[in-house]
Amino acid sequence: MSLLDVINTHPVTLTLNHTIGEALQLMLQHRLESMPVLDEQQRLAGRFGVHELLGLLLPKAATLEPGLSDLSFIANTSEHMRTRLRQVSAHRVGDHLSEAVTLRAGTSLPEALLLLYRHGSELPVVETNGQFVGMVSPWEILAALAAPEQN
Amino acid sequence: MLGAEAAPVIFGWDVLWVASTLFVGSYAVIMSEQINRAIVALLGAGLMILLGVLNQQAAVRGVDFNTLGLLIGMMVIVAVTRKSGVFQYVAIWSAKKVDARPWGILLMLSCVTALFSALLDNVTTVLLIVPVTLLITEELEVKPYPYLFATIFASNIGGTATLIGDPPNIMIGSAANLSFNDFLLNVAPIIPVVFAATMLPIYLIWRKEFVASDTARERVLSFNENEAITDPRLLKQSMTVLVLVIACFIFAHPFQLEPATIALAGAALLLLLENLPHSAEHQSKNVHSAFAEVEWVTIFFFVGLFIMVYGIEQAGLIKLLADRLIGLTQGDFTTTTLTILWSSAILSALVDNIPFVATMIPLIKSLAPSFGGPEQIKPLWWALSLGACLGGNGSLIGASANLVVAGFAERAGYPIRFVPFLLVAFPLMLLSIAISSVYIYWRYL
Repeated sequence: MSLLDVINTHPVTLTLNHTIGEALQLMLQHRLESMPVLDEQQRLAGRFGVHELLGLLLPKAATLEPGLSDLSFIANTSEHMRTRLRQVSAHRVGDHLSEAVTLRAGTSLPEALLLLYRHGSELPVVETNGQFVGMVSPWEILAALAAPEQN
Repeated sequence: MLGAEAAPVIFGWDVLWVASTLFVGSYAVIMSEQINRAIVALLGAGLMILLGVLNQQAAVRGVDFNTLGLLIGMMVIVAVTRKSGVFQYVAIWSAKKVDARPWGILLMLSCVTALFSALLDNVTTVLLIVPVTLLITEELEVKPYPYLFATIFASNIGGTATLIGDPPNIMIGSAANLSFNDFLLNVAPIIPVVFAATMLPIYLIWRKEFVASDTARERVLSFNENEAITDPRLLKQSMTVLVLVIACFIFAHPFQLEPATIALAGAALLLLLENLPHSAEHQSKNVHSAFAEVEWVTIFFFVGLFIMVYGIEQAGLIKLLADRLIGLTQGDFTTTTLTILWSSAILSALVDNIPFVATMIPLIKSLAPSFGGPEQIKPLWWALSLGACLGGNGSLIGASANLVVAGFAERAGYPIRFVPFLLVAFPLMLLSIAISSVYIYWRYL
């Protein structure tokens, strides 16, 4: 089995100019944890997802490293968070990207499993020039491994 | 001149030239900030030995383990204490005490910063305070710049007050055998004046910015500081040890207890108390994380620096510079003291004050015979301390704490730029040195 057997070549992707509001809609609609963000030449620019969005809702001081270790002293109110979410909804996805951990089509299965083990969700596969190929998820790999072996 | 200490210098080069070239070269590379300063200092120290300026035994003798032990001990104590949440507690409590009014918050956080800096390392203090400052200013919807600016000044001013507050003082105290109380009685009295004289211009410059809406203030007032205490047991333990350590600094000098012994013993006691109820595995994890928080880059930088300075001292460069200084001031004590104060301040604003102080220490020591002995030259140490510590406020690169605050500000999206900072900070630093000059002149000269 190679990565090409389990790759999803038509995943939901974002462009740099999508708004965060649009990204949130896609995330909720498809229950996606993280999406690849592509530039105009279809090269992978980074990723945007739950982690980045939660970071934008939290006070900046809590997401810095080393920052506040806990926020238990802040009163339990959702109103401020709603306002924040409304404010950031108009921002460009391109301004809040995270760097993506990537796989190559030739990445070995053990290496791909190790990266999925370390980084959790789906990982993008790119060519050497950065061109986006698709996404590999642990679900597909596990399904392929659990299926009866074909000769 | 070198006696049995030195190995033969290779190629028959003049030892004074080799040592001086190495020292000036390393200094230049450190200032350029292109290569990590610990690497440069260790490489310079290694070359001092390889090129025969010092042998290894002499190099080790040059390292001031009292300074290193004090730094490491205090870093471990802070690493354990911070886990209790006490620093966040104090910062939030102080912000609420002033009804979450912006100017009051700035003043209170500055006082807290100055106080912590006097008892802990400046860098540690700002690492603890700045995240809370950023949180409060974000909730208040005010620009964080004046608050961060004040934090930088407060940390350097507060750190000047005590033996353990700022690395230059630790080095000076250790080298000149000055006690915690010596600093408390000679340097600390002027610090509140300098602090007040700095806060006033900060208020005048940014007074229009100190406005927050009632809803924003309500948000800060709704913080529950008691929730910030994450580990009440650890809080009690660390406060007990911290009080014990500071009491020892104050009272134990007559018993020949060096600061490094006190700090390291305190660190060991706190680790013991914290880990006593835990399993062996949990203990090794805890102890590992406490030691991992020691700033090893700073420690190794010190090691390299001490060896390099010992190298130029042994080679005769320090004596040469001291004679030049005496010549320049014509042996007049008042002129020498004020020259040391002002030149330390201006140089410390432009270059890292740690290598500067490391170089000045043997230089001032060698002035003692000209001015009647170690007792008589004490004002020179106070001048060096005030100059080097307060001078750090003069520019963004003047002290490590400044760079740490700037780093935070950058990552939080409110960058502090070099020139705008310099335009306000340098004159404010000169004001603090002018006040110090009057104080030193009035009290000692």
